[in-house]
Amino acid sequence: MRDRMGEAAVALAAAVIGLGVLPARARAEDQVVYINSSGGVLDDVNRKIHWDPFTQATGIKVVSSAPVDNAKLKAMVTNGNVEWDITEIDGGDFPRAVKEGLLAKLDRSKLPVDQLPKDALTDYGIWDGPYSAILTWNTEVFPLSGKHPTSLMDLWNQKDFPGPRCLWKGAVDNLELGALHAGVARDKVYPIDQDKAYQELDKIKKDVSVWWTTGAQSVQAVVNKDCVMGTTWNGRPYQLVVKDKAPLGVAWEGAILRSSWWVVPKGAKHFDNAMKLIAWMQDPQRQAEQAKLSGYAGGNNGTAALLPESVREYLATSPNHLAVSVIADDEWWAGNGPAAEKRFTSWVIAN
Amino acid sequence: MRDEAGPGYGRLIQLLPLILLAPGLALVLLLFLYPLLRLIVESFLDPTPGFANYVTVLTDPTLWQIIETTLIISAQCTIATLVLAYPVSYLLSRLPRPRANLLMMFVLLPFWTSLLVRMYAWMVLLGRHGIINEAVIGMGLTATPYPLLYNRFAVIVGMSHFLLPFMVLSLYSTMIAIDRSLIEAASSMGSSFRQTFWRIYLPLSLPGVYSGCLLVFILGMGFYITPALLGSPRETTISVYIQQQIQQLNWGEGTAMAVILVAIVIALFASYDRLFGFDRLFRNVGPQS
Amino acid sequence: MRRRLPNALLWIYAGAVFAFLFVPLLIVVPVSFSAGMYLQFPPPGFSLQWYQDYFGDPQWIDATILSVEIALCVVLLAVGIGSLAAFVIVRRPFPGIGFIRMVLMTPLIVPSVVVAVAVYSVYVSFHLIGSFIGIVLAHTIGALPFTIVLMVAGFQRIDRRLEEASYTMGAGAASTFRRVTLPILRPSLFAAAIFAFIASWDEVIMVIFIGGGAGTTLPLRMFNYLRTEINPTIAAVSTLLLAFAVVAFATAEWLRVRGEARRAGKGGAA
Repeated sequence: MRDRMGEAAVALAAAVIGLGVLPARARAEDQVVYINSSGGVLDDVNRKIHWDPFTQATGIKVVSSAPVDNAKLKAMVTNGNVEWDITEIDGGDFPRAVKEGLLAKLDRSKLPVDQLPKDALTDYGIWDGPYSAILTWNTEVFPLSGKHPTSLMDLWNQKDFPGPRCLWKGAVDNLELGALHAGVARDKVYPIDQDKAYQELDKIKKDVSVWWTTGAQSVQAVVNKDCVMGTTWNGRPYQLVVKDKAPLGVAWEGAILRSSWWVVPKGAKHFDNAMKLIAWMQDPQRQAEQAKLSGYAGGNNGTAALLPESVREYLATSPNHLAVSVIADDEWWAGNGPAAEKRFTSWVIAN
Repeated sequence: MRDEAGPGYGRLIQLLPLILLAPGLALVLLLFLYPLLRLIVESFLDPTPGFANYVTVLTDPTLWQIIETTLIISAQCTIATLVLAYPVSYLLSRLPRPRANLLMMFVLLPFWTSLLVRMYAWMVLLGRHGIINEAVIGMGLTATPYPLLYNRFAVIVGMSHFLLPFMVLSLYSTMIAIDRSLIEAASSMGSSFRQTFWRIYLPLSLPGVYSGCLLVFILGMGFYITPALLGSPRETTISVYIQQQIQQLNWGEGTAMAVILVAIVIALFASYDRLFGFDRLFRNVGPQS
Repeated sequence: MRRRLPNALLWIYAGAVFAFLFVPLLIVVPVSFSAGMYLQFPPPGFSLQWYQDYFGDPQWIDATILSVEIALCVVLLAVGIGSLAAFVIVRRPFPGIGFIRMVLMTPLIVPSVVVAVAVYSVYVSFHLIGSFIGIVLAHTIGALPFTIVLMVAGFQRIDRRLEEASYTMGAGAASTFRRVTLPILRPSLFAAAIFAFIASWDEVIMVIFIGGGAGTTLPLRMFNYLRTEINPTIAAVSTLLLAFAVVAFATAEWLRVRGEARRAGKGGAA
């Protein structure tokens, strides 16, 4: 984007006359890969741990962009203007993207398949950062020395832990939690009996003071005591507690594990470079470094073992956490998601 | 009608503004209207040709509830900003120019803070243990915190905070043109403050009120961040709902909803026009003989 | 006479409204100096770390510069086109102008996600994705409703008789415009410019779609950070912007006062 003013004048004239405007970027570069993700602090971590070392090792430049946007992905692929070689995509949106034919098949031969859990790799995507919805509570209200929440089911326990709750503003995770509270076994949660789930959710609906929509908001609400406990994603409490001694405690019993995925849009211009970068990001040593900084890491089996206890306590894929988590069924959500979300919206706005 | 371009200038000068305007119109046509029309056509074709998307959307009771909520919230914000802004704009219009400019600068200052940042600031202020509640409890005025956040109140506060400068500016641009001599003449003839205000000042300020209310109301309809962050789920607005559809790749339904939204706003705009008259907005304001 | 009482009440009322406007800003400023890692009020300690974060990271600076450049271009285009449109609407209405005006206002009503999705393919055809001019054009369309509304109000305020008087005294169209019309329009032009700037400045969705990813604007960067963290860097950026605005306005005001003082020596001003 050089000489913008001059270019602007010419381009304006050209656009008015109806001619095409020349692209601002040269297309002849091959030593580059374009990766799109959520951005923000997680991007900074990725750049430091994975991407800059990748460029040093291979000479391929990594250009990052943000944020993740499914509508843009579809717009790009359907218009044949694929700007991203890799993008992050959320678990719930991943099967839909596959169904709509927006993704390219990965080249599994380039990836360390045996080092990954079987759920972590499909034809079209690989785990980017497994994360869990866990319980976070304010330790100024329920100190660790006394009686404190130990499970997500404590959301329903007003007797021992009175006070307002925070929940995600959507069907995701809440339906699973409802099912669990109805007594469904962890591995039998899917297909979700929504009627049963809403029966349970009705019991705590009046206690919910915050229906959060961003990760930052969820934790901020607990810190501010707008709710005394609530669901949050596991990374942020880690950062705040370990680095800043925030008054937060976490509980993993009944956590819901999902993952975002790295995928390659169909028609990506630098497919080989994309595969190289994806493979590069699976290294357990680097993933361990990533976890230390952010609380999130990729899916490599060996990562947890490389971490100190203080970090493993917040990692979604620690063995003891996996044992008590529900692993979300993306396929169920892909098929039932839109209807489930509509039902949730009606339920939540009703009095 | 008198030849406004002055004697001696021909048809060309008359047409000049229209000619200059043409590229601007072409811009909007090409980069806005045409793409939207294409998308609308798609909504009748995807996934199957027909009205399927529209039927689904129009028969969705949740949608209508959300539209009603959105209209009400916008109306509430419009009234709130009008009440807050009118006296302030009046004051600004009465002040000597340098003082008015200075204060106007203050009115516009909040715009330099990103909307998202302001939302988080409101969370800190309005929360159960936020500054306001802590202060009120600390002063002993109440024992339990007021529910100031995650409800309609917070949304109105947040939205009005953003929209207030728009109303102030709209009102101000009209008010400074109101001829003081009319007011003074009226009062010297024995008219009371209230009479002068209702019969002379208010009518003269109406163009600013109309354009301000129109702007604020329409802007309010488009808000999605503020209701999402500061409101309860009962404050779900139509823009949020549409955005959800688009992100879930239901482009057909999302577009159908957008079309309905535009239709509703245009209908409102048209009836606003019928009630208050477009001509009013076009007529020159100021002393007429 | 009746002046005194309304004035006192007015000032108190205005003061309350100003307090309302400023209160969130007051939160942001101290937080930007926070020694803590997350949004706490009052902040635990004093630190310049977030300012160091901002100034030390070229991406923040680049994003800021890009946003300013885009916004300035948008102001020029939107005020220009908006003024022309307002002129036509007020002075040269023709059948169908109401419809055109409605169309020009629609960018306010249609949710930007929908516009973005619609516009993407057209932008691809014109190779406007990732181009500076592409974003400027998109933002201009979004700013037009504001500039048109404000300039329409501005043109309405003009008393035609002043212009006619000017013609009778022998001034030509250009001269009349410069000396009679323009000064009356100035507040509206100023307001339109401000709103065009704001309309471009905070806009994020179009940038996501057609910005091409290679150039990030400041609000987009803040948006990305705010979705994952509430990092006080954002507060630092906001405080800097506020400080800049204060300085800019103060300078403009000072220049104006100086200009007026000089002109006062030559005889009455408007």
